Amino acid sequence: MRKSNQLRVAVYALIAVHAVMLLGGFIAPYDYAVQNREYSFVPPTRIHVIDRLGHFHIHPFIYELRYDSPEDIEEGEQVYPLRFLIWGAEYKLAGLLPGRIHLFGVDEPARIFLLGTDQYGRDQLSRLLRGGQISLLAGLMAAAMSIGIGLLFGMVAGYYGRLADEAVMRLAEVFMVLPWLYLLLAVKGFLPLNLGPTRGFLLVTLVIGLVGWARPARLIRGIVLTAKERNYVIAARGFGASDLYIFRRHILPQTMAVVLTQATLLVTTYSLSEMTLSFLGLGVNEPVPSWGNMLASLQQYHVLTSYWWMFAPAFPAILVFWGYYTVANSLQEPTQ
Amino acid sequence: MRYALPAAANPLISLFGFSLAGLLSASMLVEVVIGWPGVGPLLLEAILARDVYVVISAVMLSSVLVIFGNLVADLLLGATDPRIRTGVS
Repeated sequence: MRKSNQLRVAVYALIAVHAVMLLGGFIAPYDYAVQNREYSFVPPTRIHVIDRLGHFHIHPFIYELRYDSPEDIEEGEQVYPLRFLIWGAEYKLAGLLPGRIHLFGVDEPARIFLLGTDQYGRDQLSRLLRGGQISLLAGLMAAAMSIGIGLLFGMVAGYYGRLADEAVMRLAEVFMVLPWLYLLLAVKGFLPLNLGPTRGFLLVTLVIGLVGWARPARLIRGIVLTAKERNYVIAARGFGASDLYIFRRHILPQTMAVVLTQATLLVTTYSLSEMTLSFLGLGVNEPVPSWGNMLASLQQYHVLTSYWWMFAPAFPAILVFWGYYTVANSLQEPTQ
Repeated sequence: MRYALPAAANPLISLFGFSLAGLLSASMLVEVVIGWPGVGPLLLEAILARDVYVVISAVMLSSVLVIFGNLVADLLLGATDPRIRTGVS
């Protein structure tokens, strides 16, 4: 695929994934925490258009799951048509607007599990959408924090030079040289394990963002060092412009290229960090899903080999990371 | 290769020093997944069990490893590039 086509596909894919995540509560048929204990590890529901007698229905439908015993869950007889825009569990669209309408669903008591269920019978599709909100939001927020701190330190170090430069660079080296996962685990380990879901999530994001500011700070400092010596900056200083004015008007636009590239790369890194932490059990708490949480059950052998639908969170993650990497690549092109 | 390697050695060795941190983190994740009894799972269990002293020692161990690795990288740089050794600007 040509480079420009690749970039366009990546941007469309990213916009699509983020839109789906924003509308997560609407698209998901069920609440992410509702358990259906008898439907443990059920494979994805099949949607039919041709019923058992061979008749074709225009309206797609599913068969109700018949529960004979924990090992024997099959499709039953009763036909349940697929309904769109139905009333269901309460949710908050993008965390702000409460709503009850869901995109699709089936009448009670049937359940539609488009991506199967996990051990406790929770719908994987709903958890995937909610977990995507959590993981992507963590990546975005942590990247914003890192870039902010890195901009601050980088500009101060590059512009004021000498003592400030030395101090900031040595501090940045400390943060760059320590293994990030060890540092993250140590910081997370000394905090209370049982915060509420929102506070726990914010804390994880804060910790991830605070650990990784060093690399953007170094790059921004490099840009500021060259930008400081430009003619117009020297002229502005000669005319008595305040430091803040020079930062805002002359130096900040120069750093934008690096900042944008770093931002896209950092979003993927931090999203992956949040997934890693949740995978190890130290990220968001149950029952709040995160893509890492959902993949953690694959550590058990019987889940890994028998229940293929549990791999589902990996694919949107790969798609999102590929999209961000492609965008970062094309942002880097002009400087190479 | 004979002519490319001396030119590429400088950043190669610096990158080696800096990548130790990432390697430690990645190896911890791999150890947890495949069940290798390394320092990674030890640290994880200690954190979940609130064993503060084990956490302190594991983090200190990793820091010493990384610092030592960077020291070796710097010495290697000095050994391979005489300009660095003699401080020519």
